[in-house]
Amino acid sequence: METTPNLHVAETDVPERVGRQQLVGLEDAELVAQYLAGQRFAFQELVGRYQDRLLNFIYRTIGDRDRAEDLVQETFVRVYRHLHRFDPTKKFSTWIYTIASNLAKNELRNRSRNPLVLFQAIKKNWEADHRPLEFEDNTYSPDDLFRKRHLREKVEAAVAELPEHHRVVFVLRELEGKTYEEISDITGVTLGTVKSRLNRARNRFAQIIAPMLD
Amino acid sequence: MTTDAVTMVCKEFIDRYTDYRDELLSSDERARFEEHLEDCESCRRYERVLSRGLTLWRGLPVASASPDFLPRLQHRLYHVEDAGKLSTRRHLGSAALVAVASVGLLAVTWMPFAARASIEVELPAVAVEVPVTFVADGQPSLFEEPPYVGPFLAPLGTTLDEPAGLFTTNYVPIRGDSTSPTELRRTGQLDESR
Repeated sequence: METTPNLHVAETDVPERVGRQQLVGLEDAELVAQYLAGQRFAFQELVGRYQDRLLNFIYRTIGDRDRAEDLVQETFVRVYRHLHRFDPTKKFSTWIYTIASNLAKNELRNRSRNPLVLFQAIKKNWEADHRPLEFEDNTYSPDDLFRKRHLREKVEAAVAELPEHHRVVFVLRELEGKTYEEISDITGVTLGTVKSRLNRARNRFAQIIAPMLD
Repeated sequence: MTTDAVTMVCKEFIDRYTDYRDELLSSDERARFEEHLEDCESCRRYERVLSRGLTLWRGLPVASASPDFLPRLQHRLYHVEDAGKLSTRRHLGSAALVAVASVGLLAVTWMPFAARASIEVELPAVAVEVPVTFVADGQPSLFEEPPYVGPFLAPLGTTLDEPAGLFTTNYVPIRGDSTSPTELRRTGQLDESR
């Protein structure tokens, strides 16, 4: 079996499996099977489906876009390495989100132990507060734009204030629209714990942003 | 609705708000929550703030992977492949080494049995005349000349120009009667009394 991880191969290299055009209509588990059967484009299709979703999930969880992209890369590398171990009876999205979630949690733990990284994050936020306004839309006055951007930043900061294990559940539910069962599988906690963490995260989020939105 | 009842229901509303928001309640319970929302300004505000905050948060610009994301990933996957191949080769090398070692061990284990099984031929004894030479102190030697012994290996007193036994410890046997004083001599001291 050809296993070269070529994500930009020529059309003529496609083996006698499902054609490249047909991959778009396949389920994730079927794509995994196709890749293991020698269809190299199947992995590229999986990357295309998940790269932005995972990037936003990790970015909203750790708050650092560049680092989030590195962690998405790491997620795909781990998926690639262990693709043969994937259980096709399970959901592929749950599996890949579990890997991404664990990487994000490790990143947050490492940051909390590393004062230099913490300082860089603070510096980055300070720079964001002091950058010039971008007048991207003329229909809004500068005051409106400032208020809108200010609100967005505060909302983002409110999410960042949530405790790590609450934040992961909050992002998975509110941004990714995962079910409780999926969140339970991804985070490895019981359904009751998922519900409890989500409720606490929502309450805390509402408490933080209430003064800004009234 | 009395104040106590509102307070109680407000706590219940907040505690179980996730069930309400995610539509996990029965129709009767849902009706109770909606009824409470109509009556309670505080809980209405809570729901309004949360909904607006979530809308704002979801409206944040969506991050997209940078243009070099795929090439970088491809590069990393090539490394994964290379590492896999190297690891396979290493495993094959280790397996071959283990196999060779096993064969060697088996050979060594079976060697005595094989030797025992071999035919032993008794040869007649052959008498050989050995030319015997004598060294200066009168001891016979098989060598024509005494073998060269370096100064550091030579016995003391033979290579140095000093009387034999000068730097050697004189042996003093332990006597039966412990009453006699212990005879102490410095190493190398000559016993003048003898």
